[in-house]
Amino acid sequence: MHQIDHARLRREALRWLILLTLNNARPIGAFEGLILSVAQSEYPDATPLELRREMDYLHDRELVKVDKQPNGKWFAELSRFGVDVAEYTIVCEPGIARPAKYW
Amino acid sequence: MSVEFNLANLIFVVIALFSGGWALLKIIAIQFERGLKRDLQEQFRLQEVASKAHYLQLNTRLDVLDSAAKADAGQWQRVERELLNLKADMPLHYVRREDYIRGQSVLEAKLDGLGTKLENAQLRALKNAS
Repeated sequence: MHQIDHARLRREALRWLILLTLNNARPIGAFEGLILSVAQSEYPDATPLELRREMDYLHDRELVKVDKQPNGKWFAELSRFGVDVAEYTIVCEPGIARPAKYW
Repeated sequence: MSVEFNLANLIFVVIALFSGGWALLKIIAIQFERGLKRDLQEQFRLQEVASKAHYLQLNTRLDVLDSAAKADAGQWQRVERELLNLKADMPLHYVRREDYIRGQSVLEAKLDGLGTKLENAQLRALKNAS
């Protein structure tokens, strides 16, 4: 039995939390502060840097459109693929801890 | 008939002529002054009437402006009060978008966690049974 990778679990769960929050924030999107407050309800020690890393990852996967505004705030919005993943329409590739559809 | 003037008569005549002329001039001057005074008085009277009418007109216009300004201020006060009422009622009727998103997302995350936990329990039960 191999060791559980807690760091991986944490970052993948964080990515799912971001998708979940942005799905609720549709159609406008949300600033990172709001996403961070959701993330901190699950992981009280979640940092803004950690969150930005995961947001950037999701941006690279084209699930989220991240607008890095010149005033320093990041504004994020789900893309079409992001919506499909959040709504369980398409399969989720590894890297995001999307729970199995249990309902 | 011959008329004779001695020096005294001559002097008297000259003085009489001068006094007559002087009196005439005086009368003319007095009449002229009276006429002038009358004209001026008439003019002043007319001016006074005109200025009074102007004053009344100005007063009426100012009154109209004053009442309009008062009505305007009343309207603004009403708008202000309605705005304050709206602001006071807002938290009773509405939830902030951010609060809704946060609450909903946290709830869904908790449900996800609960689902995972249930699934684990089922798997553990299956494993124990087998």
